[in-house]
Formats: sequence, C-alpha cells, structure tokens
Amino acid sequence: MKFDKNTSSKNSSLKNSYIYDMLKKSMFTKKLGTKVAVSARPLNSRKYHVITGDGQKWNVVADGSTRATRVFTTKLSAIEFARETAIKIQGEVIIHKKTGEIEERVSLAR
Amino acid sequence: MAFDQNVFINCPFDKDFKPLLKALIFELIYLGFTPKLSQTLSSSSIRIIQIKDLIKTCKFSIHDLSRSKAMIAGELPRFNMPYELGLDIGALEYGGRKLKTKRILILETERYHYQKVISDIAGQDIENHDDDPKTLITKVRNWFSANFSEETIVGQRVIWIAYNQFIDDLNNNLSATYTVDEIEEMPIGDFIKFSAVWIRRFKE
Repeated sequence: MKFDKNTSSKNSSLKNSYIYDMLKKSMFTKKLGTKVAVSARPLNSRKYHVITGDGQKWNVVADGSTRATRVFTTKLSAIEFARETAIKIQGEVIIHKKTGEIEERVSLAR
Repeated sequence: MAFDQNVFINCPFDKDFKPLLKALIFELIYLGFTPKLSQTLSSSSIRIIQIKDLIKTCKFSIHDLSRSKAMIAGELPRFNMPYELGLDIGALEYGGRKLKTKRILILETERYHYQKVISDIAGQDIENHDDDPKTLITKVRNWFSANFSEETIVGQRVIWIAYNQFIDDLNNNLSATYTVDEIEEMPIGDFIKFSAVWIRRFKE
C-alpha cells in the first residue's frame, strides 16, 4: 500500500497514525542536536522561566537551574516577579503553559 | 539491547496526547531509561511482529488506556492499546525467567475508568494522570521509585523544571529552520534524539 503524504494529510485518522509519523521528514541532524544541547548549560543565561509548580502554585526558575528562585500562588504574580528580575539584566521571560509548552516569550532588552 | 533499561511505551499517537507522550519520553531518558515505541519502528515489516519483539526486549512497560473510549460522539474507541497490553501481560505470565521480571504500569485519564471497560486488569499497577503532563511525570517517577526501593530516584520537580527548559531550548533553536507546526509535529524518533543530547549536557 502506498501513502501519499499530501493526500493523507487530509485524512485525520491516518494523520493520527504511527504511519504518518514515519512518513514525516527527519529533523534531527548532528549540527542541530549540538545547538540544542549547548543551550542546556548556557554560560551567561538571561532567561527566567515561569513554570507551573506543586498544587496551584507557580515557580520562577532561572535558566539552567532545577530549583525555583521564588514560588507564587498566582501565575500573574510569578510573571511580574520574573519581569522585574529579568529587566535588571535586560533578559527574557519565558512563560510556560500547564503542559510545559511555550505560551509567550517576553524580551526585556532595551 | 539492555533489557533492564528498556521501557516499552504503548500509547496513543494523536495530537492531543502528544504533550503527555513528550513529557513521558523526556522523563524516561532523564531517569536513564531507553523509551521503545512502535512509532519509531520501520514500516517495512508487519507491525505486530515488531511489537512482540519490542515487548520481549523491555523489562518495563507503560501502557496508556486513556483513549480506549470514544473521544467524540460517534467515534469508536481504540483497541490497539488494550490489545498490546494483553500481549505484554501474556509475555510476563507465560514467558521465560527473564520475562517474568517484567514490570507493567497502566495509565488512564480518570481514576477507575478501567473498571468500566477492562475490569480484568484489576490488581495491576494502575495510575491516572488527568491528561496533565506534570501529574504523569509524578506518577511514573513514583512507580519507578517503588520498583527501585534501594535507590534514590530524582524528584519529579527536577524532571518537570528540566522538561520545561528543554521545550524552550528545542523551540528556540529550531525556529530558524522550522515552523512552529513542524516542530510540534516532529517525528518521535527525532524528539528522543534531541532529548537525549540535551539531557546529557544538562546533567554535566
């Protein structure tokens, strides 16, 4: 059986299948892998992440760290703190959704 | 292949499940395991034969039955996941000495949903994740911790914080080459490779 990727994209059941995933073009290259890996341990990070924490709490975490700088009861107050901290170093605030995906990036460079 | 490190993942591959699948894959690699999915297999031979081979090479298995119900009105539930779970339990029950050491975790969205659809699995390790990646990470981490009672397993907070940073780094570094949708729909095999290189560096 031959699958045409363009045709199959209209077919939601195939699009949801493992076959569709295998038809997709590979994205990983050694060069891109190295680029992604290097950013795991930045030499001079200027990023603060706003991440969901335990219960209904929200954490502000400096990039490269595994511990929260501060914990807040609301997302809004976590974002406010992250902005205030990042603005001092002309950094960036990365606001995450509850799924871990990116909701918004806020650059505070002048 | 290292039987003790391999984890067979039997789960849905649809877009809605992808945030859960990505979090699970990242967690397994972070904990030092090797995720094994049928999705990364070659399409050249019969899939079920390959799945049976995968089951034989994995000490651990994580089965997600959360889509074994109609997700929208008129849609049929998926039966592949319960079928593969049955094969895995069969391997444990009727397999040789090595396969008798298998450990199986069953995940579902709502607690006790399995009682309505597949009550014969009562007595297995069953946890619910509420369709929340952070809850899934916690449940899976705690299950491994119970299976390695002599060892200290890294806390779920650490894994969750690392995962969020990885997602940012992945999107940030790939955005010059790929669109948001392309990154979102990345083949799982590639997601595994990017996770592995990032985690190795993060832990240095």
